[in-house]
Amino acid sequence: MRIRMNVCLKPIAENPCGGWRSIKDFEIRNESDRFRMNLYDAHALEAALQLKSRLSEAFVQAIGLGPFGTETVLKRAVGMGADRAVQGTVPEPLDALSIAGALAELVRRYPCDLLFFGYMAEDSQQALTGPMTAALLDWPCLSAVVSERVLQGEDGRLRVCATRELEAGVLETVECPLPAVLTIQTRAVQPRYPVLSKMLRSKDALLQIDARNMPPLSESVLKTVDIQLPQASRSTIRLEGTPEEQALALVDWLRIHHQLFMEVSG
Amino acid sequence: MSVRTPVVLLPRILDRHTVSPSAYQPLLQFAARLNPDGNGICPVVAALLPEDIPIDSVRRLLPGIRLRLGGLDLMSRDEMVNIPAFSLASAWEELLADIETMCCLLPHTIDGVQLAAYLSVRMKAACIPGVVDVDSLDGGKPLFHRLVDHGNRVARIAAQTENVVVTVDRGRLTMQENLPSIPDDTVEVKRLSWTIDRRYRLRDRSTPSADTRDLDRARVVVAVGRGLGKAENLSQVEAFAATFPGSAVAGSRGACDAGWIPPERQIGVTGKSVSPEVYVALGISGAPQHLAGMQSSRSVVSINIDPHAPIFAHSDVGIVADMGAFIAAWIDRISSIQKGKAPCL
Ligand SMILES: Cc1cc2nc3c(=O)[nH]c(=O)nc-3n(C[C@H](O)[C@H](O)[C@H](O)COP(=O)(O)OP(=O)(O)OC[C@H]3O[C@@H](n4cnc5c(N)ncnc54)[C@H](O)[C@@H]3O)c2cc1C
Ligand SMILES: Nc1ncnc2c1ncn2[C@@H]1O[C@H](COP(=O)(O)O)[C@@H](O)[C@H]1O
Repeated sequence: MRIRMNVCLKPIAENPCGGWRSIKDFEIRNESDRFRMNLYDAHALEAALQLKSRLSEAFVQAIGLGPFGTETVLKRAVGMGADRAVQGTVPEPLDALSIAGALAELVRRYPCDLLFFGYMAEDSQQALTGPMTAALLDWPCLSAVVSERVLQGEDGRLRVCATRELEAGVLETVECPLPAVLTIQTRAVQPRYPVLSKMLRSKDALLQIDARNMPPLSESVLKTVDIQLPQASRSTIRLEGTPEEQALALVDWLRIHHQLFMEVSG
Repeated sequence: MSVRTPVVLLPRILDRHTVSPSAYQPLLQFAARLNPDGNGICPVVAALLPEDIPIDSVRRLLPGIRLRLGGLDLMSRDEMVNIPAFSLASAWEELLADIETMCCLLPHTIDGVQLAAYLSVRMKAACIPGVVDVDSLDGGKPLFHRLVDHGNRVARIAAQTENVVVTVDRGRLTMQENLPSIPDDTVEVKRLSWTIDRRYRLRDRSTPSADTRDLDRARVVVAVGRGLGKAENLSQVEAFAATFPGSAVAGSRGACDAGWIPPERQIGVTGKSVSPEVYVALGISGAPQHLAGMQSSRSVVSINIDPHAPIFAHSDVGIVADMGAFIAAWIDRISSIQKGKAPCL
């Protein structure tokens, strides 16, 4: 059976605002010059590549949109084994609905039977783009998938059967016809490392969409008013010093607050 | 002018086979806060009901609340619990089609977020997942608070559409005083023509069956994260845990995905929830999905090499250190204390 799979990859800025480092700097900067593949997307690509190796004929295509970092991520995708990579430029980071609109249009141009997303982007943590793209395409969507296989239904049509991991570890196995959207949760199979020789040839596999040919983007429906540090839920005592001093201080703290290690008074 | 109302959706009104809306109480309280000046709008509570559940049984459990119920003809409660939640997405859309909503509120669960994304596209409304608080600028549009930037920041976000779909993170809601609400006993029942999306077929649903009662009973839970680095370091963690009376070892999703800790011992949203006397987090960053499983521990001690790791904001004791070096120093210290040799502070 011949299956075409598209995998959507979002570039993630390494340390965009340095964790809690720059306390006074509430701006999230996206102009970091170092980007990497979103962890969930790496699992999505790995899932597509594993499916490819189990099917007789399959084609895996990576799609990345962004103002920055798409080339780095798509090169890595080709290095990992994607057959082709589609790179699109958007002027600024967009909300999920706009990205989903652009991705739905690109899927019409570069058709597929299975459309993979990461469950969520590590930075924005929304988990919306996949299900929104599915709604725009009117395709079924299975979210938080930890394993998947393709099978033939009674009517001869291809179907996907996927296991989703839900709250408290509940596993739900659901089947639906292709074309379909899957959003991939992290799993015990680690995404493969890219192969250098493939990465070196990645230019041939990279298809850049000219700015004029990009799908029109819908206007943002969200406005961020401000960004602050989250409230701490506990007041923290920091134990300073060398590991030895920290260990001693912790013994002491546990004695006072939890009556632990009381057996020897020293 | 028509007045737009908040609508609280109860996607899982059946707990197994029994009607049980109690889990949604925080959402109702949250919805009431969307009308801070008390303009008389009572949130609508919407639910889909299989045909063998009498409307009165829901009415009794949610007194004084405006209800909008979608009657699922030809579907029994048995059938309702045995279909994937998402098969009912278009039924939800139909149920809400003729309400002028200002905000649709869903629980922040995996299925809740998927339904929110679908409804937002269909209703042409903005979508904000994982909301933890709400306020407004000068009594105007609500500003929803959610974690952004890897969970390191809270953004206040306004929707630019008249309606907005949000998922509310019950576990992290900022608790506020209950606002008095005006009782409203209206019940509207809508017969739905579009019910189940037959493209989805549930093959199996299972709950984890491994015995992890030791984690429930443990006085001290020692949880390890990706900061462990490699499997070989695990024996050191086990030796560390063994120095505590009544301890058990667990892990973050990062540690379980890496194969260092068995999956049934994962702490967090998709794992177990524990509330020991002391929770020790070793090399765990403190993602919201991890915190959800351990935040009710009496004390939290965390050891992390990154002084800015988010876990520290949710810990009573924070130790910035390489976990390997710290554990080595700890074991050394404890064994000398236990031999009665070392002086204590
Ligand atoms: C739907 C959903 C459900 C999820 N459910 C869960 C869940 O149930 N449980 C869960 O845990 N996660 C869950 N996650 C994943 C979660 O978002 C995080 O990805 C995960 O918790 C990260 O694990 P970690 O802290 O071990 O790894 P990381 O985030 O990679 O953190 C590793 C930490 O180790 C520190 N470190 C590195 N080296 C050292 C060293 N030598 N000494 C000390 N510290 C060191 C680093 O500074 C860092 O803070 C879920 C995600 C989703 C989307
Ligand atoms: N700019 C983008 N380019 C390609 N894929 C994206 C982009 N943004 C989001 N995605 C995909 O959508 C998933 C979920 O993102 P989010 O809804 O932002 O959490 C990611 O894991 C990617 O698979």
